[in-house]
Order: sequence, then structure tokens, then C-alpha cells
Amino acid sequence: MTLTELRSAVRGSRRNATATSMVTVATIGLAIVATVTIDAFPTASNLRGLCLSVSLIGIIAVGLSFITIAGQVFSLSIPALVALCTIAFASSNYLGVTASVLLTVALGSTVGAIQGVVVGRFEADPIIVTIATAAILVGLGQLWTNGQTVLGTGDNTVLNMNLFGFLPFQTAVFLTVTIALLWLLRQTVFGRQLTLFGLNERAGLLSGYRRTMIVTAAFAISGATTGLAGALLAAQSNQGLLTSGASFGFDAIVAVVVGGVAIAGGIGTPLGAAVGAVFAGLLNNVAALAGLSYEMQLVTEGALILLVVLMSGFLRAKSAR
Amino acid sequence: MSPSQPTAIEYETTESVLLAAHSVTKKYGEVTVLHPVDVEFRSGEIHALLGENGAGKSTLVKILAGIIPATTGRVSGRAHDNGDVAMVFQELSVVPQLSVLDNLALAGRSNRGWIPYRRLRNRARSALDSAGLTDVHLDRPVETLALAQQQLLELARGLIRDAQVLVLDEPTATLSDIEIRRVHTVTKNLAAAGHAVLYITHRLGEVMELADHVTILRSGRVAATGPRRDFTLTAIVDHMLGKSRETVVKASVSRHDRDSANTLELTALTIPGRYEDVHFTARDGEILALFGQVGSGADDVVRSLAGLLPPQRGAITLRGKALAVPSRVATKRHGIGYVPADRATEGVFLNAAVTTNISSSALDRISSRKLLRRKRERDLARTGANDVRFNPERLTEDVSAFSGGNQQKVAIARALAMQPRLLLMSEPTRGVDVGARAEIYQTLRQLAAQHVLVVVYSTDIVEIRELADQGVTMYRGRTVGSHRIDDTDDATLITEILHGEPA
Repeated sequence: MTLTELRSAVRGSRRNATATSMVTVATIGLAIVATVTIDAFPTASNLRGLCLSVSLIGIIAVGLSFITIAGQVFSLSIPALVALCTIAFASSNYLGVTASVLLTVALGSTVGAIQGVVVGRFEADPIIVTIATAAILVGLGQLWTNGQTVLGTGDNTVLNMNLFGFLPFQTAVFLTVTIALLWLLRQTVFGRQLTLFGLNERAGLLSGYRRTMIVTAAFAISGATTGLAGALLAAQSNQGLLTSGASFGFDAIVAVVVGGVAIAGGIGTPLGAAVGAVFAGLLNNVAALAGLSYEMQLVTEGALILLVVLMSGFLRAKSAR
Repeated sequence: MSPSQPTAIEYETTESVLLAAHSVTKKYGEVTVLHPVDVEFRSGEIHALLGENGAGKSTLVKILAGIIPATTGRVSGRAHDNGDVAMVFQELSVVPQLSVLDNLALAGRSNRGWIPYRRLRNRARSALDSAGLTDVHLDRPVETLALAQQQLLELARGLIRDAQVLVLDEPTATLSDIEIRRVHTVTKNLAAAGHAVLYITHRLGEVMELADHVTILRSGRVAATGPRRDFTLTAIVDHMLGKSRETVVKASVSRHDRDSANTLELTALTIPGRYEDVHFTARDGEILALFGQVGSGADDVVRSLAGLLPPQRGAITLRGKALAVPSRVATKRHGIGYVPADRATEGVFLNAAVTTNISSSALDRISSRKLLRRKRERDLARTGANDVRFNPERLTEDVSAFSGGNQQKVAIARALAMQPRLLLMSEPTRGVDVGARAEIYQTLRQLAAQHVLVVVYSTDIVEIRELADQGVTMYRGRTVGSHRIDDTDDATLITEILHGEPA
């Protein structure tokens, strides 16, 4: 093996992981610094709060990453779908926890699949389709609830308990969903087709991959995780409301991008998106604990995210040369 | 002869050197891409720069054009001092939606915030005229031009900058024979007008016809340089390849080993506006080549067979059974493999490992119950690499790290992984260097011997001659003739694709 070959061999295997591993290192570094310098950070109550704030966004982000990896950019209907799902959960709550969670997830994945068919079969622009869907969902939600809060009537304590006494149920769901979707992407034929399709759509179609199937499945998966997050959110306060989860869509997109999923498609994993969600949540938490005003928190969050994105872009440019 | 004459010649030679490299080297980290290279380019001369992919041609050219700096050594000459070197790349860099004039304006040197259109129009006209585009109106959108015209427009973009040295990087790679002539005429005129033309090409026939001077690079060194008349075609190939040169042996399968039932038959296949009444029969053990210019419809026929362009009328019969080609999913199920002409956009996944590429069209073979089996995938990739003579040590690298020839090998291995009964290929060796070309031909020969039907489309007569057993000529969407290549001369084939009448 010559030196050139050796160099490019090392580079080849490292490239896809670059952005994700950067943000992983940044996350761990930030956590260590916070532990050492901020007394209020490593307390049980703060860590539990952090887990709760990260989990729902994380669940949405790992699902959303499938849309991005398939080369379909983002879904902008996520906040509307979360809100609608909180209402669906609260409304169906009298059927029992399990039934209402399943119904909510089914609703989410159906809404996702419909968007997926429109984008996949009819080659419509995903951004426009999901914006239109958001408008429809908000309208339907208004008609359904008259803008009123829907109160849940079931017992949802199981969704809010701590596993083993310390792990919030939502966080356990977040971890499970991440691992399951990572497995789906890396170990199955479908996951491989999705990745390659996102990398080069035309080459994928020449390989006999079905565009409609891949895109629909990606949107359905994102819809399902969004529905799941909506159910868990509604269970926290036993209510469904059209304004719930308004910031989730933006935060999930941030998590996906910061986590090293390439917007052009084909590169990145749900694990990266999960790490991105943790990083963004951690950043907010540390900023709040450090006594920054809400305004300054926004500024630091935005600036640090830009920094991460710039650095991973810089690394990619360097390795591509 | 007067003793003063050599001095005079010496003087004039130095004067006409527009661009020269003196002991130029280039290192990327530890890797030396160019060893000290000396080369001169003179006014009025067409200078062919030859070498296999990876020999250092592009690096040298980029240094000459001032795009990247040399590690050591220097570039000198009038053209260098004035920034008078224009590159015309193989890939078109024109903006298709804009007009011809606007595209020329983009190439101009104006660094003001506005474009002096009135003055530009005159200069644009004269640049177009010298690029052989006399019949093209300035306001015409570029996307309505033929490919060859767009290529010539690239040239005009160099001319409008008054560039003294023009670097043409495979200007004819994507063109058909008649269009190539047009580019040649323009190139000769430019040299006659006092430009220095640096011509990079893989088509050696061009070199013999066009070049005044030849420089051959091999592994970052100048392997040979001198006036073209000092070289024969064989000598050039020997210099490019070094000692190891493989000659293609066109070993056909003996008659009695052939399976007479294994045929692909097209009858009256038609898509109005693209091709009409196309008919031919591909037989077991043979390679059939569709030969036609760009726009002859031959490429569309191949795409139709691949399931990407369903025909409206006519019949296709594979092994005696009617074959429907409504979609790529369907044709793949029938065992039809396809290697498109455009590697980068649809032939391979550039940013994925070679292994992933090879297995990508045969995911059912490396999985059980829809789960991927890594070991099976690695084995498949190793076998596939072996079949196309690809270095098995480099399977984990991304395809983008390789030269055109190796990328094409990956594209072929990708199509072969699905074990096709019929392999379709457009422009099998476009942008592929001589060494890899011979290996690709051998791979295709072997396939034919293993009872895979092979149908290729090519615009290159040399390729048809070296590769195909049966040649079907096409002209303006119709099949003209069908010939045994070994019994047919070039003139017949070329006449048929240029004029559409059996010679």
C-alpha cells in the first residue's frame, strides 16, 4: 500500500463521521466544563430537567433525520403535527394510555405518509408540501377544538415516571427510538436504499430503487416519531392544545443539522441527530444556569450552532481537497 | 548555410514562447504528483498533452493557468505575466439559462459592477466568429445550442478575454465525429491566428491529425516530448503506458459454444420524435454496438431497453419471450443491467465506498430477510472487483477518490453484481485512459463468452472497431445498417452515421 492509498483509506472511512464526532466531542467538553464550573449543573433535579427538555426534541429529530438523509431536506409541518397530536392524545385518552399513544402515533405516521406520497410520487418540493400541510393541520385543529384546550381524562402517570428511579420515561423512549432507527438505517436493505437514494437520486433510480416507497417511508417514520413526541408532551400536563410544541420544529431542524446530517442527503445518521439534540439542549441549560438573560441565551445558542456548522463545513472542505 | 542562422532561429523561438514551466513540481503533503517538469508552449502551435488518468496532466495545467501554485519551480512567459491563459474544461461551465452574450459577459475581465453591453456585443461577435459559431445569434439562450456548439462557446469565452494561451481539456470527449471535426477546424484556425493551444485528449487519432507538438506525461514525469512527426501512434501509447502494455485480443466464442436461443430482438421499436422503426438482433457470445452521433437516437434506444424511456410502439423479444420495459424496477427484475454514459450523475455514488457501490444494485444478494449481511457484501465486492480488474485493496475508499477509468470499472462492477442476462452500456470508455480501456474491453468480452448479451452505444469508431462484433449504425432515429465489424471498413460505417444511407 502506498502512502496515498493509506491516506485516502483513512480519510474515506472517517469522512462521514467527521461532523457528528465533532459535535459529540463538543457536547462532552461542554458537559465537563459545566460540571466543574457551575455548581447548579450536576444536581439531580437539573439533570432530570435537562433530560426532559432534550428528549421530545430528540425523538422528533431522529425521525426527521430520515427525511433529510433521503435527500428531501426538512419537514416544516412538524410543529403543527405535534400540536394536532397533543389534541388527538387528549381526546382519545379515555381509551387508556396504550390505545391513545398508538392512535396518536398512527395519526402522525398517516399524515407523514400522505405528505411522503405527494413528495415522492408526484415529485413535489418537500418544503412547499410540508408548509401547505402545516396550514391544513392548524386549520383542522382549530375546527376540531374551537381553539380550546382539550383535557385528557386518562391516567398517564406511567408516561411520566422514572425508570430505575432516575431515568425519565421520555428519555428512555428517546434512547430506544434512536437505537431502533439507527439499526433500521444501517442494518436493513431499506436503510441502505434510503441512504444511497439520498446520496444520488438518479443513480438510485438506475439501481431499481422505488422513489415513492423510499420517500413515503421516510416521511411516515418522521410522522410517527412526531406523533410519539406529541403524545408524550400531552401526557406531561394531561392536555392537548394547538399552541403546544411550537418551537419543536425549529429545534429538531437545528438538532439534525448540528448533528452532522448533510442537508443535501445521504450523509449522517439518526444517532448524529440525537447528539445534535443533546448538544442544543445542553447549551440552553448551561446558558440559563450561567445567569444569561433569555435574550443573551438566544444569541449564544445561535452563535455556537453557527460555529459548529462552520467548523464541520471547514473539516469537510479540508478532507475533500 | 550561414553560421548566423541558428542564432536567429534560437532568437525567434524564445520570442514565440508564450508560456513555459521550469522544473515545476507539485507535492500534496508527502505525495509527489509532479516531478520536475519542463515544458514550453509556443505561439501558433497546437501542443498535445497526453498521459493516462493520474499521470499529472490536470495538475500541470492548473499550475500553468495559475489556479494552483507550484511547490517548487516557476512558470514564466508573456501569457503568464499578463494572466493570459484561458482554460476550457471538459465539463461545460456555461450557464444554460442565460443568453450567449451573457455567458460571454460572465467570462469577461470587467471587474466593474456593470457590463458595457454595447462594446461587448462587437467583441462577442468576433469571438464567436473565431470560435466557429458564425451562425449563432448573441441573444440565443445557451440551452438551445447543440452540445458541440456549447463546447465551442466555452472556447469563445476564452477568446473574449484575449487569452493568448488556450488550454482545451478533452474538448471532444462528449462529441460525435462530425462535431469533433468542427472543433478541430476551429482549433487549427486559432493556432494559425497566433494562439498557443494546449490540447488534452484521450483520443489518440486526434493527436496524429491535429498536434504540432506532443508531450507525454507518465507518473508525474515527462516521458517523451517533441514534434508530432517524430512519433507514431504505437510509440505514443508505449510512452503513455510504460513497458506494460496489454493488447486487446478479440477472441470470439467459437460457434458451437453459442446458445442460439439467447437473443435480444427489437422490431419496429418507436418513440415518435426520438427514434422510429428501430430493429436489430443481438446474439449470444457477441458484443453488439449501436453506432451513431449524439442525437442519432441510439442512446435513447439503450435507455428504453433499460426501462428509463418506455417505447410507444414495437416489440422487444428476449430469449424468445416478449419483454416489457415500463420501468427500471421491471427491467431489473428481468436481469437487465445498465451502465449509463454519465458516470458522476447517475453511474456511481461518488460519496460512497466502492464496496457499497458494487452491492448497491444487488442488495437482495447480500441480505437475508431484508437484513444486510456485511460479510456477504464484502465477498460480493471482492468478486466484483476481481471481475473488472479493480484493485481489491481499495474497496473501502470513496469512489470520488478515483480516476475516470477506475470509476468506470466500479460502475461496471455495480451493474454486474446483479448477474445480468443483458448488459447495456452507453459510451463504455468515455474519459477512460488507454490502460483501463483495454481492461474494460476484456471484461466485456469475458461476459459475452459467459452468455451475457452485451449491447453498447458508442460514438467512437475506434472503440467500435476494438470492441464490437456486430455494428448497427443509426442516423436521425433510424437504424441504417447492420454489419460484422471485422468485414466492414470505417468509411462505410461513418458514411452511414453521417448520411443515413447504406454505403
